[in-house]
Amino acid sequence: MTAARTHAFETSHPAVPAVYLGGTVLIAMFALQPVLVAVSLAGALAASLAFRGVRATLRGLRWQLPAMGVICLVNPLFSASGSTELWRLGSVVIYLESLAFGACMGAMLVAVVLWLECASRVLTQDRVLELGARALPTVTLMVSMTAQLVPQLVRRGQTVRSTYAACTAASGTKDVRHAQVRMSDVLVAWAMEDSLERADAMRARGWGSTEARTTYRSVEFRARDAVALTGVVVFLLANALLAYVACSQWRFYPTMPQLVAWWGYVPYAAQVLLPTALELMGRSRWG
Amino acid sequence: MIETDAPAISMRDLSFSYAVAEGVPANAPVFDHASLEVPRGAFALLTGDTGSGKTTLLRLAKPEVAPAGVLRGTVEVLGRDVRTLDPAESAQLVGYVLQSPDNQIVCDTVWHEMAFGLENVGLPQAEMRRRVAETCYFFGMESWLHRPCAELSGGQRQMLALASTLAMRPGLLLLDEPTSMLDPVARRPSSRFSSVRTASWASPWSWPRIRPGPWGVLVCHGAFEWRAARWRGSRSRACPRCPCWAVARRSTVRRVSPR
Repeated sequence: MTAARTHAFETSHPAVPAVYLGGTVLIAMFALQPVLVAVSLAGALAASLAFRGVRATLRGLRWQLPAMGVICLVNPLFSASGSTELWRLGSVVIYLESLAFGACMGAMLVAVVLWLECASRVLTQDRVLELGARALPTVTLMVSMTAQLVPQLVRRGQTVRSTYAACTAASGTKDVRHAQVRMSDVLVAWAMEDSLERADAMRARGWGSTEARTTYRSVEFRARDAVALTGVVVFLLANALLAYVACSQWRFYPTMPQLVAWWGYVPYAAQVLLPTALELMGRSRWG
Repeated sequence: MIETDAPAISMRDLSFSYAVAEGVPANAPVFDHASLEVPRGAFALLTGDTGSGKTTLLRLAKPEVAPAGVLRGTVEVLGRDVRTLDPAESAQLVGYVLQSPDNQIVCDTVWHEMAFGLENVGLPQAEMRRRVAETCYFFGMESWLHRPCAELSGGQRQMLALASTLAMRPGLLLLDEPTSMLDPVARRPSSRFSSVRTASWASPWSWPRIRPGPWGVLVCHGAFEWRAARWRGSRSRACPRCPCWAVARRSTVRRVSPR
């Protein structure tokens, strides 16, 4: 099944969303400061709601929220540092600081997972492969063929199973392991037979015939893409610098300083909300 | 270079037997002194029962997909011995569409599949774009050009396999059971591949230049299909020993000047 097309970055060269999302994920991973993590999580949630829909996001949160809670609670057990003592469980002391660190860590992890899930919607497989096709044609083709192979094996598995189920004489065995061995046997033989023919088809169309293989690009890198890419890079660098400043003034241990309102959070908020805004704008324009 | 008056394909005194392991007595030959000639501009049909060697004969015209074995005789495409062609030349001179469309689709999306062969021979970007656009227009594939290949129907896959070979603009097109995925009613080769037979196409991008299509088309088919097509034409045995027939008739193809 393929995901519905997204509007954000739809008309730009795949390098632009790739750099944007890569940078956003990197900043989200390294900026371990409560406000930045909260902003990143909010942006990732908004993007997830926009790209993946409410249902998929909620389905994901079903395991992400408990994971966040577990990390938050487990961290104090392993790192007993801090200065504000909350509880004492036998010999283990629970400090507020290590609890906060765990919460930040969990939120960061969920945000990164959400960002990566959104990235898979924006940067569909063919767009990613197009990025690598020029430098690594063979590797790209291999990745693409492998990616096709998995759903194909699943489909064929269903075909084999239903064929066995339809032939009452063939579906006789009740032994699950035996049935699985027989199934994988059929699938492997089928795949190997296919690979021989596919190799023929590739050679028939000149695979490996010349060193100077060219790459068909469905999207050209235009001047506007260069402008957008430059803008994205500058924006990311500025935000990385602001995040560095914010993180260098923050520490969890031994005591956490007071958080203050700061203009430097605003550009980061703009950055993480950018794909959501683009998506909503595209949707209101194109329906 | 390509000779202007040579037939599209000519096989002379072709004998072939499949390879065997060392020490094992040799296989009986699949053909013995088979000869076949398809004139330029012809659309020829090779028919015979299952196992009569249709596919083997067809594959011998394309060394990249030819079976291993002992081959005697010559196979010439447009006056050139196919065994002297380098792979890039061969890919552009002889187009071969295999029997099963599923196994010959290599790439993930339709447009990429059409560009695959063009990329392999190193065509420049602008030429590739034009050929993909032309072929897509010619086959009316615009609505599914960006779809993943896995989602296509059997007939669409077959058309894609043909389109991605035709995008290479081969001098000779070899089709191995090109309608095997279609239902028997739609299998009439004359109707299904009339578009290939016309073999010259004009595209809005290259108007008023007429692009030459393949010079010759050789199709391999079971007996049923060619009878259903009610082909008239000279019917000749390709080989005195094997039950493989070649039916050829001059089609309505325009004579095109060499590229």
